[in-house]
Amino acid sequence: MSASTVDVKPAVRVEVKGRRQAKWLSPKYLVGTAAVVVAIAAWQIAVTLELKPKLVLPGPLDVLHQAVTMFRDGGFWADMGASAQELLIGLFFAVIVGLPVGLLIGWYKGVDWALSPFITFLYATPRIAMTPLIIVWFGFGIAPKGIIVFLMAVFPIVINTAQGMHALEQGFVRVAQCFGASDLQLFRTVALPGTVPFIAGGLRLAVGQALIGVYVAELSGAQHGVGLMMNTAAQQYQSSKIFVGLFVFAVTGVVLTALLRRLEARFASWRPASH
Amino acid sequence: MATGATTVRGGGGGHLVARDLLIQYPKRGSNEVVTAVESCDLELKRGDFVCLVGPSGCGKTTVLNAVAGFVPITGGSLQLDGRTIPGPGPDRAMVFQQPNLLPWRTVLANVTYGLELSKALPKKEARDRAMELVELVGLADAAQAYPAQLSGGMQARVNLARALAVEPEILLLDEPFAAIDAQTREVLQSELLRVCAAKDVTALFVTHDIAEAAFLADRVAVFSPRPGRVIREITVPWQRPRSQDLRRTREFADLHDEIADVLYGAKEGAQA
Repeated sequence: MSASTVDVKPAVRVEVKGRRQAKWLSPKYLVGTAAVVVAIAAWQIAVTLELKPKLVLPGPLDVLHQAVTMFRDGGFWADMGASAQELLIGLFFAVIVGLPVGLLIGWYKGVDWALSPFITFLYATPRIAMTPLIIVWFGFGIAPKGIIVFLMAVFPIVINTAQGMHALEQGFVRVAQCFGASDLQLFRTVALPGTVPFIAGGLRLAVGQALIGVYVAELSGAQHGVGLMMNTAAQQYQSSKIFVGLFVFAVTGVVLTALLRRLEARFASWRPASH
Repeated sequence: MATGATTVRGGGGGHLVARDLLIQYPKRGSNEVVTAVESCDLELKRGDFVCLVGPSGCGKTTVLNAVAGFVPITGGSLQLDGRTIPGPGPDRAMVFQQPNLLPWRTVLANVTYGLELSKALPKKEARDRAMELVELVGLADAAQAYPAQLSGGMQARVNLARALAVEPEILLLDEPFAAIDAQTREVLQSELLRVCAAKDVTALFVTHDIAEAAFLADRVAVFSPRPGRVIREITVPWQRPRSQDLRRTREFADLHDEIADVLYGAKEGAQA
């Protein structure tokens, strides 16, 4: 028996449920792209008709022009660098802390009971309102802003991870026990892989929360930052600058979320194809 | 002679031996004690295929769970090869009604799972043995597929292969085909007999389906209603593996009726 010559190709006889097609030609993407084109055209028409003064509502071309000017200017790069630092520091620690804490809460009832009052309290609080306190404690540098981002991002990670552990399929646990699995093996082979989709969902929520954190943190005093730049521009009625800042935030969010989706797809290729 | 009640032999020769087995557990949310199994005797020799049939809730699955080590026994004795059952372990592999395949593992990786946990074999050998079993249950083409891509019948085959991979002393099956359509079920029953013959398996199979028991077993142990005990063991005369044609013979129908008589007689109470 040639058991060693295992065929690595996907099984031929197995019916694969998800149909593959050229992604960019699918109706979903065509309709989506068309909608975006229509929206930008409507924006340009509204500007051309001068429904609002240009100072208040710049057109897409004005914003593009503004963006080109700003990207040539070192100041804007400093702003983006500062914001990126705050975002990455905050997100990094949110993952480093959030994942283990979520896993511990999900695995040990005692940890769950001990931490749940704090988590319930902090989750219900608009954590962004802790900004003044963080500023008082840690000053105006990058660090306190990272802390604010961390506070925003850590909770979705903790809560989703713990939820994933709680939602563990008891049948899988039984199978593992039947084969005499140790607690560590049960954790590694059943609990952790079963929680991956929940963790991925938590990370995506965390990205959105972290971006809010970056923006708000910079309002309470900063030297550089995209949020700060937008706020300053508002005071000078430079609406097109605000738009550029807005798009920088949006693109960051979209790119990070897309990266996470790819990561998720890698770890969850077993899931039945849906949507 | 087609059938007959077998008397339980004295100790010594048995592989799995239950003597005067008593299993009780506290009723949830009260101080009452539920007696699930009482005065139950059962003996399997190596290579035996025994089916437990009985009215639902009679404690037949409890006996299976006790052998698996999930449920502690209250009294009597329950021994595998002369040793009391400690707790769950890979020497007694369970085939559950729900296949419970790990959805993030391929078919092959699911079959390797038990060996991976017990570390009984080096990786390469574990994989080779798993592949051999995947081929044995007819899924060679689907070895790299994920459970979500499989039909119910295919999942049941993987479930069986996974249990056999650890080469258990005894295979415990808890209505593994109950959720599968009737035609596929008959195919799977034949496959099970073929696989058991190939691997010389000792099996304890719980079912409420009389035809399934008659087709699969060397002996059918009929349980009384709760508290469950074996009220009669009926020997099935045919050699295994068996052909599908057997199901349509007169003798098969007679055996079916004989089991049913004992089963329904027991259900109705003392008239049996």
